[in-house]
Amino acid sequence: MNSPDSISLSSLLQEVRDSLKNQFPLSRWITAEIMDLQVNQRGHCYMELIEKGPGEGPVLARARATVWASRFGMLRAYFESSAGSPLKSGIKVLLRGSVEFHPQYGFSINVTDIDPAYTLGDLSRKKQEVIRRLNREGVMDMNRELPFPLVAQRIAVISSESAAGYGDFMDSILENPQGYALETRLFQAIMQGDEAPASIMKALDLIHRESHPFDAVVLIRGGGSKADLECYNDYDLAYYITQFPLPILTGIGHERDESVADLVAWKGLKTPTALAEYLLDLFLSFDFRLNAYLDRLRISVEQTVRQERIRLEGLATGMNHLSRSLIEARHTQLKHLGLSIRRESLARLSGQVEKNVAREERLHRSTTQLLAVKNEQLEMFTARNKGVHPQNVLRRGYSITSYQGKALKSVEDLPPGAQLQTILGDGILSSTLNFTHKKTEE
Amino acid sequence: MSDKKLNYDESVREIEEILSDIENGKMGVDELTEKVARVSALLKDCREKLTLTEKQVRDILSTEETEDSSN
Repeated sequence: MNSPDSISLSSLLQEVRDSLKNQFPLSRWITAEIMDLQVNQRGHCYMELIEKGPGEGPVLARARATVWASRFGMLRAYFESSAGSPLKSGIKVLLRGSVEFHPQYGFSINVTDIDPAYTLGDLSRKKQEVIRRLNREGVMDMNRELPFPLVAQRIAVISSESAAGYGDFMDSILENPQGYALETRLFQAIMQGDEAPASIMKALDLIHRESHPFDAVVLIRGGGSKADLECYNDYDLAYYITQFPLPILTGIGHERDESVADLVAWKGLKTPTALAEYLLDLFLSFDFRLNAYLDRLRISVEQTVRQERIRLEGLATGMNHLSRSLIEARHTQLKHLGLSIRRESLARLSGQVEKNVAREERLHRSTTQLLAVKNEQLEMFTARNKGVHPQNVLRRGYSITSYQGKALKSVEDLPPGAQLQTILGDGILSSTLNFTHKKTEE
Repeated sequence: MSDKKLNYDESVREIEEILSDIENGKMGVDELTEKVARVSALLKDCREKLTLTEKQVRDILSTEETEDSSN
């Protein structure tokens, strides 16, 4: 039964469609947040757009949106290259779209264009907000204020092994021409996208718990300009970096302005290779510094030795003068001493001389007496001795006969014909032996 | 090997102290020889440490140890 004021659903919805078409004939620029984004096989994009209340409040509005394949490819490329960030859930966008209503599929917005500047602006705003908050909390400079070693030789590397950036970094480190040695250890993490902050923080936590501490931490990633680097503007990650007890250096390899992570890090380098070079430069500087020390040492030692030599020579010269004058003084002293000794002795001697003359006379007298006595004794001896002197015996008629130079005391062993010598009182005679006759005892 | 534990900062501090003493003429010739030897040793150690990390030293030592123990 048909009521006069009832309408079929399809008719109603068709009326709605016509009404909407009238009311919203043209496409409009719409600000919204992407809640969900899917692309089907054919390349059509289906999104859910939402609007949240202020400060991430409750969802105030929600609508489906479509981007047809014919437009989506271009749109996405344009957006990503301009914004440096992929089209994904969670970002705020400025879209150009027209209201669509289909009785079967309901309300949707057909997106034909997008303005990346808005998203950039929004991201920039978010980034500024994070920076403001970190400033308010007074933590922005905390990692930068950590002491950095003269040479960072033990490095914790947070990266993804498959990342091209990691390969570049390690190549630079391992193949440095001076042969400097760095000890590196890889702590794997997801380096882009929404999962990156948590993954990186987990790696940092592992590093923190290492018993043998590292000198510094490096965050390495590189390659692929389409990568989602918004994660490096994440507040939690940035805060974690400020609180970390080791210096953190970043080499994230993005083309645009620095991310918040770069700003709070001890130092942010543009690329992993630049980061490796920075670390190696420290070695080089230190090497030069050692050379400078060597030069200083040589110069200062030469100077010291030279000064010492001058000092010693001065001393020697001084010594010469000193010893010469000392010797002269001694000389004079001795001379005076000599003179006074002579004076003294002369004085003493003259006194002594008289005494000595008397002594001498006494000595002379007693000596003469002694000599006279001794003379008498001697004469007596001589007279006695004269009697027994061999010469006197010979004169009385005795003689000494010798054979072969020896005086004979026996007739034995004398061969007849032997030549004999005899000494008499006044001369010698020579004879030949005839015979001998030995006396017999009775 | 205990010299290898001396880190760069400490070495540099000592080197600068000795150098400034020599440069200020505060050092007698006898002490000079000893201190010069010390600075030279420190410089040599630092330079060696640049191209050889502690880990490499430890690895070398541990392979020597295992070789010894297997003898």
